[in-house]
Amino acid sequence: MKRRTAIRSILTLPAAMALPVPLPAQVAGPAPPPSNEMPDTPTVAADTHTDTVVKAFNADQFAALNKLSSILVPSLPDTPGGLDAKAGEFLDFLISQSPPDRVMLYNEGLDRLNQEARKRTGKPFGEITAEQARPILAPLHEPWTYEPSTDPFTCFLRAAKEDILKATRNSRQYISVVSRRNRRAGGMGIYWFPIND
Amino acid sequence: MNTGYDVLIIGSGASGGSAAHVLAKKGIRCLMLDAGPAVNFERDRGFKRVYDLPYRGFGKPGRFPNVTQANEFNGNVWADQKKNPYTYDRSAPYNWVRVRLVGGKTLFWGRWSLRLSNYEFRCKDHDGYGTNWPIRYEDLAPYYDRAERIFRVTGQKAGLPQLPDGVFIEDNSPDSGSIRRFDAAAARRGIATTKVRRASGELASSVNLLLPGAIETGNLQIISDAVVREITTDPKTGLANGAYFIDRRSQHDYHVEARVVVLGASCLESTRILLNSGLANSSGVLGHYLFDQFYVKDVVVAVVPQARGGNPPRGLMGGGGCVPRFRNLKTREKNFIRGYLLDFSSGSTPDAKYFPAYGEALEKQLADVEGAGFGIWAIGEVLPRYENHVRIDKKVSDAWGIPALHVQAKYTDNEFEMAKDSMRVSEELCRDAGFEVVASHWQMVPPGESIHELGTCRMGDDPKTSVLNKYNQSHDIKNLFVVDGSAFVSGGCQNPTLTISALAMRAAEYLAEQMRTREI
Ligand SMILES: Cc1cc2nc3c(=O)[nH]c(=O)nc-3n(C[C@H](O)[C@H](O)[C@H](O)COP(=O)(O)OP(=O)(O)OC[C@H]3O[C@@H](n4cnc5c(N)ncnc54)[C@H](O)[C@@H]3O)c2cc1C
Repeated sequence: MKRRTAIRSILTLPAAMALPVPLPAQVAGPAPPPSNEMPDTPTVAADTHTDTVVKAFNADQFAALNKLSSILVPSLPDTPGGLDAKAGEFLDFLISQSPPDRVMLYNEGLDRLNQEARKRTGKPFGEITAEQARPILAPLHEPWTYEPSTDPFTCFLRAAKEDILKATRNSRQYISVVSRRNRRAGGMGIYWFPIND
Repeated sequence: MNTGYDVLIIGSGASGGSAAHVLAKKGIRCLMLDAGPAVNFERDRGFKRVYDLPYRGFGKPGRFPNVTQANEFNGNVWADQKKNPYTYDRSAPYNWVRVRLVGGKTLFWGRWSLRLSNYEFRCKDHDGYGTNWPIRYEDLAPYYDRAERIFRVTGQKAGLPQLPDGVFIEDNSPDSGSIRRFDAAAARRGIATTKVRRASGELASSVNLLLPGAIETGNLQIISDAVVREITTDPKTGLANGAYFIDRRSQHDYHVEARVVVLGASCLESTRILLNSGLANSSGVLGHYLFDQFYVKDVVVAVVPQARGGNPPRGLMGGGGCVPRFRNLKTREKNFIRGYLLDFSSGSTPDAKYFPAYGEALEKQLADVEGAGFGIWAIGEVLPRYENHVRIDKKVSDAWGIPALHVQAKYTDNEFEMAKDSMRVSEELCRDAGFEVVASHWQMVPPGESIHELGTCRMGDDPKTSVLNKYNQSHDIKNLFVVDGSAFVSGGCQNPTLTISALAMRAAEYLAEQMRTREI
């Protein structure tokens, strides 16, 4: 019997006469009871897999904030910077939830960056180079004083420098790269859950 | 069931815990009420990465406008400001830092444990200002000994009258090179330095050091989540006979009876309970003479030049110490009375804000000073003044309907001048030690932020000018005791908790004796 004929003949044999075929496991014996153990369901973080919706700032302001992030905390060959850490997106979220004086500081500061950039180059801050930004960011070269500056733009720049640096250093992107070089830089801390609320 | 306890203790922190520790061991049946839940370190804490927190470590904006110590990791341990409001004038902010958990603030304190001296207890004799305490250092010394044993205080004897030595677990650890240089610079100016005196162990709290011994006796029961509203009195005798409290979660009202009431709800909370109860204020000074210790955080930030480059030589950096008060001891300063101490430490990395740079230039500068920082905080005495006070703000109540406090506290020239001096001296010492001063300032944090609030229910011999007698006992109601920092007459610049604990133990011994002899 040719091989193909033989297979056909097997297929057409009455079920009882057919070669024994191993049965799927679930019908091999009594079904095991369903597991009551809670499995770990893997999830991913929103900020690594999706885009945030910009809320606090308009498009020009947001572009300025991103440019500022890239200048204040630039990406270096072995260290992620503000843009890699999505510091701008994060700060947009943070400021959208912040008290009104903080919102105003950022709104006015970002507008001022754009005005200054347009005045000097005809382009918004988001489109100028780090070199062109230098004179605009001059207040950041002033020595530190404990008393906040009386100039709101200087206050904004100081706040943004601190915030962008922190948002970058505390980001998943930064920590995962830096902790490969230095195990202590893992960003790990003891977290207190709500206590018996 | 309300079984009528011997002593009702309100608050389970350093003060309430110390009182319970003594009373329960003397066979006195105590009930302790605490407004907060009991903490379970296994259940209530866990490791997390900062980027897994919703606000990347920044914390929810506006959640704790007055608690600069709060961050996103520890945010859930501080008393919620919305549920526990208080008020102050906009021109005089007050940072009231509270922990409402069984164990109180001792769960998180920095553990610095310093004795007061007769420069504080006899302050008026020394410089004519204010009021002496009704006790001397010698009265409290035996209780300091006990408290230090319980808190396992490490330190090194220095023989300084302004910072009496204690019963220390001897700290013989070698100092790093930078600390030795700083100590030598201070010594050249005749300024003494000491090793840090601190309770040992990661956790040195009421919960692990004071309460277990009391619970073991079978004489202490603790009700958590019990927010005390007011102390009740017997209308016939005028004596305290218990307290009303509210269950924190259910809002269910309760009353408990006891022969004696001991308040240790922390400085301002105890005074608030008394004001809301309308008790113990025949003197009219309840709520007044509020003070604390001012802090100038990072009064100087310096860099040790030899540690630059990101890899300090072994043994150069690390450790810390204390410059105890050195002003106005044998000589008199022109611009201020009293004094301050300096808390110095070596081996940090100065903050980015101090460097006038950004981008790659900033990164390079930070890498260069990594671990090369030398920092100093100044802690100064604040003069007790009648006008600095708390009172009930009838317009504001907490989440349990209990009227809240209005706090009024301002620093004045004596503190400002002292703060300026602390900056000048810190700069000089750092420069003399060969360090580079990166930044300095003398602005103190707002009153309250040192978390060393004191006064408002002060002790004294004269019932017309004080609320408590020398045993922390109310002049007006003999079975009412207040054993926390509110009893302080002056505070010096030494962190107060060791003194709070010693005073509470002394008061509890006296109370036990009064109960034994049926005086109470
Ligand atoms: C971060 C930090 C660092 C510190 N570092 C130091 C230091 O290094 N050295 C030092 O000496 N001190 C330090 N302190 C201060 C120290 O913790 C306090 O001085 C000490 O805990 C005060 O003890 P207490 O019993 O008066 O108050 P607490 O310890 O606050 O205890 C009061 C208790 O009363 C309860 N309570 C309040 N209101 C009510 C109510 N209405 N009904 C019932 N219960 C109530 C609270 O829940 C709390 O448990 C620090 C504090 C903090 C937070």
